Amino acid sequence: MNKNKIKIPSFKETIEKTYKIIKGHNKAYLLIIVFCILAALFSSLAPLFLGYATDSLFNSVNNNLPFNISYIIKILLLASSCYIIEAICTYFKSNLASILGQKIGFDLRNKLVNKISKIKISYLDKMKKGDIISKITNDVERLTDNLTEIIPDLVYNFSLIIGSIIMMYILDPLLATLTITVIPITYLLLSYIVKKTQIYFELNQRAIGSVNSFVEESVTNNDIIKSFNKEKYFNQKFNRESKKLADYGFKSSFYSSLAVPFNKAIGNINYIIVVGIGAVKVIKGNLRLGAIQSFIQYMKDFNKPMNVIAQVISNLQMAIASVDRVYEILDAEEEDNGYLENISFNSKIEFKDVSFSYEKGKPVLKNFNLTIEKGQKVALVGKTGAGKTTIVNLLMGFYDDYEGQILIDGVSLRDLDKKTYRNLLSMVLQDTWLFEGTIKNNIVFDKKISDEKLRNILSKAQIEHMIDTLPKGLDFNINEETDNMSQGEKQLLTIARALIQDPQILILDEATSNVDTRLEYLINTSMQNLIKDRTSIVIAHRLSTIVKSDKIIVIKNGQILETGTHKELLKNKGYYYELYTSQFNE
Amino acid sequence: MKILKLLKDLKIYIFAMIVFSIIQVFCELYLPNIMSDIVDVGIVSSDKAFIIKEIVYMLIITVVGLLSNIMLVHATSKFSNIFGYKIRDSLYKKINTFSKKEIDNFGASTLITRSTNNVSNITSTFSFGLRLVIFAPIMGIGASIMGYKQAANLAPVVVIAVVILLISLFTIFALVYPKFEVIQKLLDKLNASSREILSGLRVIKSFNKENYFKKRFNKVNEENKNLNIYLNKILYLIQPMMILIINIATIIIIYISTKYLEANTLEIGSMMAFIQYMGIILTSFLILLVIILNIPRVIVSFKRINEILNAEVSIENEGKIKLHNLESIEFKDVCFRYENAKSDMLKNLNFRIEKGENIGIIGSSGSGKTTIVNLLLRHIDVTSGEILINGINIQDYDIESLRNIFAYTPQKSLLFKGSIKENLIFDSKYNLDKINNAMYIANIKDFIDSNVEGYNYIVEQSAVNLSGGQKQRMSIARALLSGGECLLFDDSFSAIDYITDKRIRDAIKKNYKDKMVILITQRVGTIQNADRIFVIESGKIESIGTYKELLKNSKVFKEFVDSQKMEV
Repeated sequence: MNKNKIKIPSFKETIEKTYKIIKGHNKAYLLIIVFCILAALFSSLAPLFLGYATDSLFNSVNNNLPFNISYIIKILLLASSCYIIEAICTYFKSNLASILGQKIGFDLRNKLVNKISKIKISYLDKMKKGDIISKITNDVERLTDNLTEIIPDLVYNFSLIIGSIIMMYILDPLLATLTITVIPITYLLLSYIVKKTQIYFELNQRAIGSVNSFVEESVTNNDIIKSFNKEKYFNQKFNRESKKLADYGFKSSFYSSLAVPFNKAIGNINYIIVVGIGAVKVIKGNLRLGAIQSFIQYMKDFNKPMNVIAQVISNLQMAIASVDRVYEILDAEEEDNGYLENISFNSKIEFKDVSFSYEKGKPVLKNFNLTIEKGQKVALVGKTGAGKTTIVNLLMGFYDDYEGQILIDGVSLRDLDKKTYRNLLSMVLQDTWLFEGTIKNNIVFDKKISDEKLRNILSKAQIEHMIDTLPKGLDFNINEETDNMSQGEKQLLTIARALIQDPQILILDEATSNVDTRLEYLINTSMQNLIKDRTSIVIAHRLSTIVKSDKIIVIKNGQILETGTHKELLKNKGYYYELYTSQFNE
Repeated sequence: MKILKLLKDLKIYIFAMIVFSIIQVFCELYLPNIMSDIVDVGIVSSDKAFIIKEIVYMLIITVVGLLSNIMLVHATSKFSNIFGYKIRDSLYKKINTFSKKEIDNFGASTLITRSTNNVSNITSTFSFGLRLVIFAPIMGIGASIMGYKQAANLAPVVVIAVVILLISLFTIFALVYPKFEVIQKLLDKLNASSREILSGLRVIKSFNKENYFKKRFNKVNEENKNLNIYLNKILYLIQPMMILIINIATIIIIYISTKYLEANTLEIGSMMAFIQYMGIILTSFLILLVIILNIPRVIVSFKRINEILNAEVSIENEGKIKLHNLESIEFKDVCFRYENAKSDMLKNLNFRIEKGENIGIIGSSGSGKTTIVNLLLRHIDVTSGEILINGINIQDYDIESLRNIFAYTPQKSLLFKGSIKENLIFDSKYNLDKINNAMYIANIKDFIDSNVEGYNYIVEQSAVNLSGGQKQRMSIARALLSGGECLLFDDSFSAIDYITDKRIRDAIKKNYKDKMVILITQRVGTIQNADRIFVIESGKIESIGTYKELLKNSKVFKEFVDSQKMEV
């Protein structure tokens, strides 16, 4: 992969995006931050009290006095209660943060799924399925894990730092200033590392995406790999992808964790300076010996959070990479939607000079013109790749970037509210898509319909018998891979699904190609009844299924070649005649 | 665990991590020692030269510490990523040995999450955890030795604190551990639910059922959220509890020390040092704990990966005989039943096919046609009866040589992401003429000619940029190029129009005269010229004959013909 090709969103942009994700939870964050500060406060108060206990012991030993036990116990109890309060606050902080994180993740996942049904289909076509899924699951998880821990961690550790800075200045301003110069040095180091490694995080995430897609493809195409004896070849191909991932994984984790050793070294050098200068100062009589001791203690309090912050930064990088990936979906262009919700279909559908291409420079439809009157049964005929399915895609409003116009009763399809419009139509696709759930679920989705009524419709469509042969009938559970049914059975269910909708316009895209011809024969007879009062558009390779159509449209290379009824077209002895005779005369 | 065997070559990294950890611990524990020398010797005797000398020592130690720390980080990152890479590789190879049965049993989505999600889980946990796992105990042991030297009589307090810590950790662990597997299952479900929406998007949109599917997703999403919140509630107890134990132990030490101080068996300086060392010991435990929190996740991932690595493959390549040429295929009383099915998919099939014969197999969907193909290619094995090739049981052949005999075109034309050339010949080497010829026979040559990229045209994932017919013709060409002696078409013409269908069949007939052809279909026209046609009805052979014979004798066949010839 070419490194230069990848565009890295600026840090500011990413922060804005991140903020958008956590926006609306300000109150919860505020509460978490309050608990953080309380925890930090009580944790730094306790050593102060303990110091007095040590003083008292020290005095007694030095002056050979008996220990002031009741005083010491009082102080110890005070310190203990500080520790207990600290523990409680820490727990509340973590727990609240976890709940918030889960909520944000939950919302984000719902948002993503919601968005997916709104994104332009042409945009989704270009994305890898495995990649999208990994965004919804993995990236969101990484985000919620990190985002919720990062902010409280930062607040807690900053509070600790500020507290120790104040104490250090009280002890010795010069040493305190020297200690604090660590901050800009650490900052420069960290921002350098962040800048250097961000690219590897992106590349790493991308490599994960391609490995995912590769595995998905291999698992679904397992038959082919086996039948062609290509296991070794695919193993090698996978090995390359996997190696790439290991390489980027190494680079991103190594470079980002470099922050830790350097930070530690900076802290140590700082420590050495304090001890050196402090020792000289003590010799000169400018500093108490005990002050060095306390100073070192506070320096530890100051450095430890710096190390934690370095770790947090590396987590933040991961989160940022995920934020960017999630926004690839959230920022995707949405399907255009019209404003007209009052939609009627009383006269006709028109395609006027429609041109369309999926890829630039490869037109599928060219100046296509077609009128379908209400109630007409129209058949689209043509070789594969002629553009029949594209016509259906456009009519369903899946793609908007076509030239020319599609008019429903004279109103442009672009002006219609898609949802209301799609209520007019039902379609049955070549690709039989079912989902995990009962047969009834798959046919009616969440529509409320009595079993009796459902059975009535199913029996009319000759589907009832097939369903009853399955164990549990309508309650038969289709599994996750939807492979516990035959292709033909699946196709019948998708037909049933369309019928239940009782649409005005019925679209059948090679709907019967997977049903065996005897079943198809049965379906066709009942279908004739069912499409009686409907406008229908049928795409089929089997000409026998369309001879009864009111209008047969023969398409070649994205243009209409011939139009007419079956008889008219046979008389013409044109392309249709050729198609028809080839099917029945060898 | 099979997975741990993968660690074998990685010993060197683990060794490096231990060595560098020891160096680093030494550096870190030694600095305070030098400091106390500066105080006790340098300051007390006002010896500036001594102080400078000691400071130089400290700087050297710091540099050594930095270098060993960098090496440590490097070794860890290398180790965890190579480990992940090895796991992925062996998983993928194992999955490629799976037969249909294992793939169906596991299910596609879990195979995918296991070889991606679970592996990256292991990698990321190891890359930050392993360093600490090695470092923390060494640090803890070092500090224990130093602490014991300073004040042996205070040691029992630390021991008690550690015991309490361990007991509470194990309790929490036992409470939480079983839930982690549930979390993994929910993740699988989230995956499946989003896949469902993605693959059915067009249908969902056309039925306006976006909300229904959002609700379905929402349900899994909510379950996942609630369980995570519950788990975290318990897990987040650990950290504050541990810190509290350390702090209370400190207070108890001060309290107990008063007695030893009174008895003069302890000095204040030793007490202060002891408290510091105890801090280090317990911090080591704290670090270990962070790791422990991640252990259940890693163990679950390990287990899930191991399940794949240990899965028994139902069809192993146990045959020794290499199959070089094909003379005949014979089915003898072949029955096949899917696991847990109530009845046989295929019932007592008996037939024999000779070299050079052109056989058509017709039947309704679900009648068992594809099962015959799967048996021939040994994606599945017979339940009873036997399949003989050249008179020898199919299971006695080396699988690779057996599969080489078939030029197979599947029902679903599955293509791979990559160039057309790669899709056609994979890694085999053929000259262009041969490829062109196969493409010509499959009637898809014009696609190559009309494309600027030619054979380098990239097929996208799931071949979204090809039409159904193009995909089928491409997969026919792929089969022809494989050079098998039996051309096996499993309903491979369904998305191809009749003119093209006939053209392809004519070209095949002309070019592959002496080969065995088995053509499975639902279209009567496609097998009109077959030497013999087998009519399959609910797993049994209803009748065998030529087109004309069957028209007279076969009820099922006649129904097929009638339904396809209505109103001519």
